[in-house]
Amino acid sequence: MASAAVSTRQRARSGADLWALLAIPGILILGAFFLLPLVLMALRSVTDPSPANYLVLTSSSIYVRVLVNTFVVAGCCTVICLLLGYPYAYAMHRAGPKLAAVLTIAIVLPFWSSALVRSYAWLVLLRENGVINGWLLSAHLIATPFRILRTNTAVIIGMCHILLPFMVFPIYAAMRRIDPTLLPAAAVLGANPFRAMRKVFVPLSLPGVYAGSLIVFIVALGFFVVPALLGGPRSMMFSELIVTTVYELLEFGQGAAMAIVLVASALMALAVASRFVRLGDALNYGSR
Amino acid sequence: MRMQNAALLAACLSLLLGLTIPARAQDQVTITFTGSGGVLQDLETKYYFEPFMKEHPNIKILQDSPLNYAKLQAMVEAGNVTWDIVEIGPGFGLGLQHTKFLEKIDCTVVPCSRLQPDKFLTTGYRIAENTSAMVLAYRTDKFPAGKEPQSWADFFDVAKFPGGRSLLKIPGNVSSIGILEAALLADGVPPAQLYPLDLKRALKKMDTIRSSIVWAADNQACAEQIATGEASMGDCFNGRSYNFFKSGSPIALQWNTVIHESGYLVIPKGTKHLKEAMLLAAYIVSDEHAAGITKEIPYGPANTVAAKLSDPATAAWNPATHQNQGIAVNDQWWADHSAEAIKAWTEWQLNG
Repeated sequence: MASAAVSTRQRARSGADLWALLAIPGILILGAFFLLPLVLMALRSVTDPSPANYLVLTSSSIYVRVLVNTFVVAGCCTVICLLLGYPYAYAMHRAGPKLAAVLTIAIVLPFWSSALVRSYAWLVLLRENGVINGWLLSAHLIATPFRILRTNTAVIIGMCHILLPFMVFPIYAAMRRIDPTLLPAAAVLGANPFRAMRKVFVPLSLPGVYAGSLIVFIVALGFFVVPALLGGPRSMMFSELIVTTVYELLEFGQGAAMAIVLVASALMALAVASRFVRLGDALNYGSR
Repeated sequence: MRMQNAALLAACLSLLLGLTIPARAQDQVTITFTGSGGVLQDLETKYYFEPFMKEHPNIKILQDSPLNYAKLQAMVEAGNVTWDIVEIGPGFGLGLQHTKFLEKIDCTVVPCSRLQPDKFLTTGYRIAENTSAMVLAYRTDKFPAGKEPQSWADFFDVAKFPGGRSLLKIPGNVSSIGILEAALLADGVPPAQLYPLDLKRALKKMDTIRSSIVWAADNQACAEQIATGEASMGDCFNGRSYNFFKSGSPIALQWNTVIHESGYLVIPKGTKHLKEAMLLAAYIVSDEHAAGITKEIPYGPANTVAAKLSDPATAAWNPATHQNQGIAVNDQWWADHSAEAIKAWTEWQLNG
């Protein structure tokens, strides 16, 4: 009986190994078009013309300031997307099939239009004599138009608009995996709904929260179009600086060094974060 | 049997046809023109590329945009040049750091001697194509005739001329060329002593209008912000301001302030269609065709003979009409000091 169970499990595992072969094309593509260029870029950052490329980053305060601003903006986007995305995902989870479909379409639909178009739309809405200021002025809610465009606020609004689906879907997926009998079980054991939510549901959905936050944060770090259109010079993000270095100054080695610094500081930030939360859960929330 | 033979014959014929089509296509050459896109490239298609293709049925012109110096450099380094002719701005194509990526211009094909060599630096590697300008643009409803800004000093006088100032944000040359010159002129530097630019002094002058600046994400937005009233003045390309004037916006230019620039054509080193690219370049700057686009956009030809054929409809907005006013950008200074100037400018932009 026991040996039969073991052999079944072994068979299952060897079967899984064969299925894993299907990942080979993906791995090859990632290796050839992602890992290899990354290695080449790292090499170029120390050979074109020399490792002094990294010293350039200390030659002016702009590099550190833009890097710090990039992390602040990415961090704000992550928090705001989480605050908006978690209740939204919960609503999708609890809604009936029709409402769930509507909520899903509502979050996916904007996903199909380009970031550029959506940034231009925000430009029209947010500018000093734009739509929103026009309404507020004519409703006598404000006396002078507010200035949001060309600030970090505008950048964060525009970025959250684009990043929200990246937060909602991992959380929604994690919620769907939670055994629906657990909450009634907690109630039977005497937990009120708030306590059942806090002690049972939220902890079980955390892997989705980590996965969503990780994706949003990493993607946000590399944003270019939105800050370029909605931000002012002071809300510049690091990718804009890299683009200037490569496109305008034609300093490919220096640009490569800056890209490596961005990747390295992102990894460092994640290492620090993993001391406080179990980020590892984000990677295996599928294999519960 | 007979049917089968017929089918076989048809198959052979179609095979033959299939073979002959690529053989004919070999005579056909396709070259790629890359510019900055927008209205200008649309007009270039209408007035240069389409008639050129009619005259040279064996040459087909493909187009790409936007222009990107880094891509140009990368494709030359990789030995895989897919752009055959490229339209560039004033800060590129001078000095060995750039010319090593470019083909030398053949002046037996291109009418080099007519391209205003005194005003627009034509090196052996780039062809002066058209004139453009950064000009003070203002709203005529805010500043009616008699009360309009007269100089860059007025542009920097926010007390006397209130309202936002539309300036290009894009980090780099595009946004820094012109405004730094304007700041120095406003601060009282005589035009003849403008170069070398005193970056510190220019940026100190810029401090005085910092809180009034309305940053524009691109060239179009620069003029658009004046048209929408977000700004009352701006330092924008004359062609962009013209577009909004034409569509009825209350916008005018103060030509006393004009800062002349030029657009150039270059041919990336290692193009497989050097002969055809040179032919097209020659066509674009030729006496007969160069002025074509002035029917619809005020970018005058650099060709002095063609300049006389410029359309009067856009003449008032064409920098070529205002050659005796304002100053010309010193391309050589910018080519030599771009890195330093861009860094100082970016630092200033961030330090607000």
